[in-house]
Parts: sequence; C-alpha cells; structure tokens
Amino acid sequence: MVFWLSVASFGIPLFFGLALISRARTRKFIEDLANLCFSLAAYCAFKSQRSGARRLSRPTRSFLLDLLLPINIARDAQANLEELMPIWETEHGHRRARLIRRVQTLRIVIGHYGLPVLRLMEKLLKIVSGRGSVE
Amino acid sequence: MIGKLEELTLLACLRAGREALASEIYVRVAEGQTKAAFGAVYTTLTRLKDKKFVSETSIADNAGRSRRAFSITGQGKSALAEALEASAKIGGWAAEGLNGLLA
Repeated sequence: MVFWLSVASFGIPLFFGLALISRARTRKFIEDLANLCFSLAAYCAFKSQRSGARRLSRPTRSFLLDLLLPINIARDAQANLEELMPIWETEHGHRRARLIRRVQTLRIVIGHYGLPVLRLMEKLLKIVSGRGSVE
Repeated sequence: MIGKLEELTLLACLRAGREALASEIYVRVAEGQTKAAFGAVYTTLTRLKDKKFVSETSIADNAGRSRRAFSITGQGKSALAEALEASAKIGGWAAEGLNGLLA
C-alpha cells in the first residue's frame, strides 16, 4: 500500500512534468500557456471587481456603536457616518474612507465616555482656581 | 470662554440653520477647517448641549430614523459673539457683519 502511494505521489507529478517538458518545446504549448495565463488574469480581475462591487453595496456595520453607546446616539451617529461616507469616498477613495469611518466611530465612542471625565476635570479646575463652587 | 473647535462648531451650527444634523454642521466646519474630525465635532456638539449653547431636538429623517438635530440658543449666540469679538480685538480688525450674523 505504502509502495503504491509513493509511486502515485512521485510518479504522477513526474509523468506530467516530463510530458510538460517534452511539450514545452512545441509552439502549441507556448500558445496554450499564454491562453491559460490570460484566462487566469481575466478571471482574477473579474473576481476582484465583483467583490469590490459587493463591498460597496454592503451596508455599513454598526456593531461597535450599538454595543457601546445609548441607542439614540448610536443610531444618529451611524446615520451621520453613512451620510458622510460618499464625501470621504470622493475625497480619499473607498479603502481610506472605510478607515476614516472606523476611526471616527472610535472617536465618537471615546468622546462619549471621555466627556464626564472632562466635566469633572473642569469642575476641579474651577474649584482649585477659586472661580466657582461645587454645584 | 469657549475653545476654538467649539467656536467653529457654533458658527457652523448658526450657518446651518435651525434643527441642523451633525453631518450638516460637520460639512460646514470642514469647509473652513479641513483637518476637523467628525468624531471631534460630534463630541463638541454634545459638550455644547451640556453647556446649553445649543439645544437638541429629535427629528425623523427621510429613512424614518430618529436623528439628533441641533439649534443654537441665545446663550450660544452670546458666547460666540464674545469669542469673535475677542478675536477681532486681539487681531486689530473690526468684526463687521457680526451683528448681522448673530441677529
């Protein structure tokens, strides 16, 4: 069994390799190879174009916003980002626009949780500088 | 005294009119300050609302989604006028057209 497996694993590639080498000398082989390369390139271009179109039509995801923000803010932020996406896409291209959207999503989340800290800091500064009192 | 981004956001809010959406305000800010980030403007709007410089209302957009709309308040106009006048004084130019804008 092991013998036949080793024959198959070495013999079959060897057979096709020898066949290819012997054919490589002919003009037909070079034409076939060129056709194969051209077909592969065309197929790859078609696939990438199709996946690009699918990416463009895909609705924007809002998992992070929905998870971390109150629902009214999350919905509003998501709608705003969707409205701004075409502007960013025109200015920077699709890939960079997606990156900008992600960064801005993070900024909104950080800003939402950072605001109370900022308010506390302002109150403390007012107290320290003697310009205000604790409300 | 308000910060520069707050000043720009208040100005943009004023120019965008009543019940302006955050994206509309951001577009106006970005016209003058191209490096302004949407996240920063959005957070600033919330901050301005806390300071009662803008008021927030909930409106429905074309898709039926509930949206936060912002309008500048009288207090916001006063703060903006103060900031613009301070800039004009320090810069040494007259803040012409300011009264018309804030009327």
